[in-house]
Amino acid sequence: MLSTAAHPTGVDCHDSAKRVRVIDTDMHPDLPALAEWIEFLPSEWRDRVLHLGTGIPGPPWQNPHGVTRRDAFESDGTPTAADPERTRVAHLEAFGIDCGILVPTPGLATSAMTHPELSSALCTGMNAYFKSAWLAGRSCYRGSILVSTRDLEAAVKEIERWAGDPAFVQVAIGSGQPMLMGERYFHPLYAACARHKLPLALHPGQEGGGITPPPSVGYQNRYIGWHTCLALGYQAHLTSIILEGVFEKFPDFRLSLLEGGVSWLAPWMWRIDKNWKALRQEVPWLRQAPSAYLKDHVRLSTQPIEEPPNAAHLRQLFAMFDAEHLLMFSSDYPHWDGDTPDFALRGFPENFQRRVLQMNAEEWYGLA
Amino acid sequence: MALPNAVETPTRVLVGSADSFVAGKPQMITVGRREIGVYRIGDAFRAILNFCPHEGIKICNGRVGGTFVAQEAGEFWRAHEGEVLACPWHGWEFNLLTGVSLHDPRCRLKSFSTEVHEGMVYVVI
Repeated sequence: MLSTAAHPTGVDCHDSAKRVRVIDTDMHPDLPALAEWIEFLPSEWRDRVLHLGTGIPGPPWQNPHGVTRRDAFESDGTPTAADPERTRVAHLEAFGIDCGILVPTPGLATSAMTHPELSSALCTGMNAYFKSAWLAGRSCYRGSILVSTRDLEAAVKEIERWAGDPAFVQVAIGSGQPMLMGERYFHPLYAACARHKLPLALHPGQEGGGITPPPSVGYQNRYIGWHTCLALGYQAHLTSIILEGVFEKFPDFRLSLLEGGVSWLAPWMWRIDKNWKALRQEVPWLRQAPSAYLKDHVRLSTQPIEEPPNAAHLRQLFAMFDAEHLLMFSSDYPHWDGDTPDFALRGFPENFQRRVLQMNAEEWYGLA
Repeated sequence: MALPNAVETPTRVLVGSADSFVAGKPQMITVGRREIGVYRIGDAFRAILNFCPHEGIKICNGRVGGTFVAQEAGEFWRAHEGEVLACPWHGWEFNLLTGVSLHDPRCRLKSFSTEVHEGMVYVVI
């Protein structure tokens, strides 16, 4: 049940002592028409982009309903999420959300482009645009520094450009990547994130588009198949990152896994830890069981939260790992599979809700 | 979706003239705290609560169209044209004629009876 006045079950939003400060760790502002943000692109790329477009690829699957919710468009057809004030009213105010962390979707797919320099320039332009149009003067939003992994030297420069700006709380890339993310190719990116104490967010949606492979073996024939298997790509990336020793090499590196599902985590932990006990000699640099790295280095966002027929089963699954400290609420506004704060955490104890809706994100992103 | 001036009686609420309905577009009325969308499907009228049983979304903002059905894998038969309402958020499909979802017969929209008298459409509450 949607509510515009009350916060999730058992929490009184009018009582300051009890009030939960809801942080939405994954929302997607849209770019406006190109003419409105082209000035933020590095000047040498403007003519090309004006004439040819950005060239950012999408995945080769179509959602039959459209990815953006049908009720998230204005009467003139423009997306509500292209305007920060309209978004604040339609999403933050409507669902009692105090702070939204912006993860602009077009920037996530730049790592799937063939053109390294253009992909980096687009990230530079988008970061400058969202800083100017959304973040400046608005405490209800925080930003993600978009980078392309096609050119890591440029990505590191982009991180250096914004790292001191408190409006940006993490670096973000798509989880659609040309190779597994534990590879040493990516390590300069992890070093920069660690140096600036910025988590790196992975977000799905590009897998199978441009130069990136699909999230599992082969190309699914349908959007439903592709979307279902996005969690498999996350398992592969997380496995690779841990086994390649990224968290040992960069002790301050932290990873936000957005929109990749959460219920797979416990059986994945059991499987990798069991294997490690027997095969430890393959990864002798790991100084603890693989799953033990999650506590200090990894957080997962809740949406799209799984919906078992018996809701108690979700609570049982969440008791099988430290969900109370590893999960952060996310809505995915304005996309088709979004969750609301009250729906996502219905039936969970108040302390759990407070951790997942507020405290975990506050601690992770330094928002307390 | 403008709200027509509803004239309430103890059991029937006037929605508007049958001729004023546009296929696929609900006429909305408010009765107490309930928002109700009334659809015309051919010669039939259906009234539903503006509330998706999944997450409580205002389902009348959703698109009305058809869907695909199949007897065997690989078939795509277009069916129920103009009868299927899809939730604007998560895409759950409901047959407006029956109120029943296409994925689970136990999942239904809250429906109200309709009556037509002398060309005027009423919802019975």
